[in-house]
Parts: sequence; structure tokens; C-alpha cells
Amino acid sequence: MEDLNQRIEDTLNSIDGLQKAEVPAFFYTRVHARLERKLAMPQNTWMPVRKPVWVIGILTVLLVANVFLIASPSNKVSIEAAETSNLQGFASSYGLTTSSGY
Amino acid sequence: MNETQLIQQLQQGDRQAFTTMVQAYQHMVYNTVLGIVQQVQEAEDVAQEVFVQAYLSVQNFRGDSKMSTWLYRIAITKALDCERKKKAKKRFNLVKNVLGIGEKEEEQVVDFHHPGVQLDNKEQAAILFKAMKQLPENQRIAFTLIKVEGLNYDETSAIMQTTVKAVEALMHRAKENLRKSLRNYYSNHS
Repeated sequence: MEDLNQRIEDTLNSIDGLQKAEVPAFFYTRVHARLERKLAMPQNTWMPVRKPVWVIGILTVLLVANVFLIASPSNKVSIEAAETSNLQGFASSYGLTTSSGY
Repeated sequence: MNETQLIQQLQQGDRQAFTTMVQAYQHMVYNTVLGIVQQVQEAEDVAQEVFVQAYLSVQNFRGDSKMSTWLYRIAITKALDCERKKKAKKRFNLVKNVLGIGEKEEEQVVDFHHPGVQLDNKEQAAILFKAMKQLPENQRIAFTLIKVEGLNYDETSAIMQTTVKAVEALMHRAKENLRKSLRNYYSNHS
């Protein structure tokens, strides 16, 4: 048991005084090339939000807003009013109103 | 050139300042990432991404912390992202294998041998690095910064944006969890 505990403590201390790893050769050259590639890429300005969770969230909100607007009673009234005024306009432009005399 | 001047020049898009930043901090960033991802090729890839990200987001750096602290944060975030992607890919492959979709990919588990470990401790250090992968993220970051990077508790708390007491608690829990993992490992491999 004591042996096991000692082994565990030795393992925990095995990275004490760890030396730094050397950075791979030509690291800077590769970073520079990567940066140039990134800067040369066209920026996606038409869609500022790219995370799928945000895109789905925004689309859901838009969908709910649309459904709400279409289903709202005030919208129905205004649609009916618009239809009536359209019909009246159509009738008057072709002289089909009841007030037009012969 | 002092740090403030370097930041100002980076914010003006000066490429010479970028070269200075990479040369000054490449060892720090690479070693931090290597301690987390534990794979040389991946560590280089992630470290490159850290500097590109730093250059692209330097406009948002307000200078309220040291540049090294800011770079440590980017390095840790990128390294942990890389680890999460690997885990997600592993889970996806497991599901594919269970459903019998696609080709079966053999997972190769290779022990990580840190190049800076003394030869006498090589095997034990590999076992410890493997156990570190099982730690919760915060404990893993604290343990890596203190034991691998050799930072003190003050520096670690600044990077992790927490108190020294919280870092001490994280280190205590990390060591306890590592002791448990190592006990299991040695019990199964004796």
C-alpha cells in the first residue's frame, strides 16, 4: 500500500522541473502564410452571424413573428379593408359604380 | 519596443509588430497548447491559429491585462476547442460504428511523451499526462499552467480570471482526482 502511494506521488511529481519544448522549425513562416491566407479570404459580410445556434434562433423568431402578424385580428381587418378599397377602385375605373348614369 | 508600443502597432496592422509578437511569445503559446492537446502536430496547428486570432482581434484588446495573459487566454480557449472537437468526432465515430454506417475507423491511442521530460521520468510523465486528460477543464487548466508552464498562483488566477484561493482549490481538487486516476491505473496495471 505504501509502495502504491509512493508510486502515485512520484508520478505526480514526474513533471516537476519540466523543460520547455522547442517550437517546430519554420513556425513563424507557417504562421505568416496562414495569416496571409486568412486575410486574402473574402469576408462574409452578408451574414454576420455564423454560429448555427444563432442562425436557427433568428430564423425561429422571424417565423414566429410572421405567424403572429398573419394570425392577428387587426391584420385581418386591414386586409379586408384593402380588398374593399381595391374593388371600389377597380369598379370606378371601369365605370361600374352604381352612381354612374347613362 | 515596449508592450504598449507593440500593441499600438499591432492595432495599426503593422506586420513587423506581428513578427515581433510571434517571436516573443511562440515558446509560451506552443508549450501551453502542447500541455493541453498533447500532440505535437496538433499543438503546432493550434499555436499558429492562436497568433492569427490574436492579430485579427487585437483591436478588441484594451490593454487592461498583460499581453502574455491575453495570449494565454486565447491559447487555452483554442486548445480546449480542439479537444472538444476531437471528443465530438470520437463520439460521432462511435455512433457510426454502432449503427454500422461508413468505414470503421480504428482509434489509435498513443502515449504522449513531452520532449521536456527527463529521461528517468519519461514513463511516469506519460501516465500523468494521460490522467490529466480526464480532469474537468478548469482543474486541467490550473494544473497545466502551474505544473507544465511553471506559473505561480497569482499569474494563473489572472489568466483564469479568478481568485488565488479559487486556483488553490482547483489545484487541490486536480491533485485528488489525479491520485484517484493513478490509483486505478496502477491497480489495473500491476
